[in-house]
Amino acid sequence: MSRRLFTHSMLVIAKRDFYAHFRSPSTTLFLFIYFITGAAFWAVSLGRLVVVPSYFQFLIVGLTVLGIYNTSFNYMNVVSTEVRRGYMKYLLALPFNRGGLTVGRVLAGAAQGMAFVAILLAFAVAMMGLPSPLGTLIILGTIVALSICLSSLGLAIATHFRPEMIDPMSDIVGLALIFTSTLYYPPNLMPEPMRIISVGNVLSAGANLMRAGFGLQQASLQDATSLLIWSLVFGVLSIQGYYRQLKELG
Amino acid sequence: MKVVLGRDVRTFFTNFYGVGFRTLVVVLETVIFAFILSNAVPPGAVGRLTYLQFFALGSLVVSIFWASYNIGRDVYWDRESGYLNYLMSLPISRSEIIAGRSLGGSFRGILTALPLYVLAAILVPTTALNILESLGVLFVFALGLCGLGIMVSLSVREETRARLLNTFLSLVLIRSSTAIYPVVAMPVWLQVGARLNPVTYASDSIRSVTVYSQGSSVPVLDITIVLIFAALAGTIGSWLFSKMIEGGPTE
Repeated sequence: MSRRLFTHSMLVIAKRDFYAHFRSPSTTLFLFIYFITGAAFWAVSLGRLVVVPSYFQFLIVGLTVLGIYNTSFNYMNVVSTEVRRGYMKYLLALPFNRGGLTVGRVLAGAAQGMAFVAILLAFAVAMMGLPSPLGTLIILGTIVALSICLSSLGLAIATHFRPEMIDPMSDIVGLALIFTSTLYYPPNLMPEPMRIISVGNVLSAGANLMRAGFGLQQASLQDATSLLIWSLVFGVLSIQGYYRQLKELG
Repeated sequence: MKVVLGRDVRTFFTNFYGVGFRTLVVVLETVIFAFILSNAVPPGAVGRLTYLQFFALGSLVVSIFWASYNIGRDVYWDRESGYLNYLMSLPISRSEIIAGRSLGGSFRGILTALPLYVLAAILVPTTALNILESLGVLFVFALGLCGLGIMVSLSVREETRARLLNTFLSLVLIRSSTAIYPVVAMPVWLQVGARLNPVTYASDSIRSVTVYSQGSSVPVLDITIVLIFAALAGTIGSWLFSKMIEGGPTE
C-alpha cells in the first residue's frame, strides 16, 4: 500500500508540474528561439571563424546541453516560489506520501528538460545526421542522467538556501558551470587551471558524452563517472533539502 | 523632460541586481568566452583587431541594446498600469514626455555600458577623444533603439506577444549583426541580413571610431546609417507614442 502511495504521489506531482510548465508556451518558445538563433546565426558564423575542426557541430551539441540546463536547472524557480509563498503546505494537505512528493519534484524537473531537449535534439540530428545505435544510447542515457542531475541541483539550491539567497546562488552556480565547461570551447583551448576545473564540471561531462554519441569524440569513462557521481550527490542533497522543508512545515 | 528622464534612469537601476548580473554576464563573455576563442581565430580574420578586442567593443553595443531597447517594455507597462494617465495630469507637455522617455532610455544604456567601457579601454588602448566620440555614436544609436523598442511594444496589445516579439527581435538583431563576429565569417544569406541590420553599422562604427588614428578613414557611411536609423526609429516611435497618448492609455 505504502509503495503504491509512493509511486502514485510521485507520478501525480511529476505530471502536474510537467503540464504546468508546458502550459506556458511563451517560456518554451523563448528557449526555442534562443536555441534556434544561437544555432542558425551564432554557431554557423563562429564555426567558420574559429579554426577548430567541426566547431559548428561542437557548438550545436553545447547549445543542446545548455537547453537541458535552462529547463531542468531552472525548474528550481517553481519550487523556490512555492517555498517563498508558503504554498508547500497545501501540497502537504493532499493525500500524498512525502517521499513520493519529493522524488516527484526531481522527476518533474528532469522530465521538462527531456521533453524540451527533444526539439533541440531533432534539430541537432538534422544538422549532423543520425548517430549510430550505440551513439543513440549514449545520447539518450546522457540526456536522462543530465536532466535528473541538473533538476536535483536546482532543487538542492532552492531548498538549502534562504529565499533571498536563492536567486544569487543559482546565478553564481549557473555562471560558474557554464563558463568553466566545454559547452562553447574545447579543453585544448582553455588555460590550464580552467581545464582542470572543466574535467569535474557536470555540463562538460554531459556535453562530452553527447559529442561522443554523435561521433565527434571518444566516449570517456571519466565523463560517465563524473555525471553519475554528481547525479547521486545532487539527488541526495535535493531529496534531503526538500524533505527537510516538508518536515519543518509539520 | 528632466523629471521623466530621471525617473526612467532611477527605476532601471532600482533593479540593481538584474542590471549588475547582466553586466557581469557580458564581462564574463568577454574575459572568458572571447579570450579563449581568441586563440582559435586566425590573425587578420577580424581586421587589425584580435578577436578579444573585436568582441569587447561589440559587447558595448550588445549591452546598450538590452538597456535601451527595454524602454519599450516600460512604456507598455506604464500604459497597462495607468501611469501614463498620471504623467499626463502633470504640467508637462506631451512632447516632453516622449523626448524624456527616449533620452532616459539612452542615458541608462550609456550608464550600463560604462563598466564595459573600462574593460574595452584596457583591452583596446585608445585616446580619450576616440572614447568620447564612440560614446556619442552609441548615444545616438541608443536613441534609435528606444524608438524601435517603443514602436514594437506599442504595436502589440497582448503582453505575452509583446514580450515574445521583443525577445525574438533582440536575439535576431544581435546575432545577425557584426557585434559578436565579423561579416566575413557569416554565410552569404546571413551577410545579406547583416547588411540590413542597424546593429551591424553601430558595431562597425564603434570599432572604427575607437581605433581611429590619423591617416585612417572615418566610417562616414556607418555613422550616417546609424543617424538615419536613429532619426527614423525615433520619429516613428515618438509618433506611435504620441498617438497612443491621444487615444488614451487603455485603448
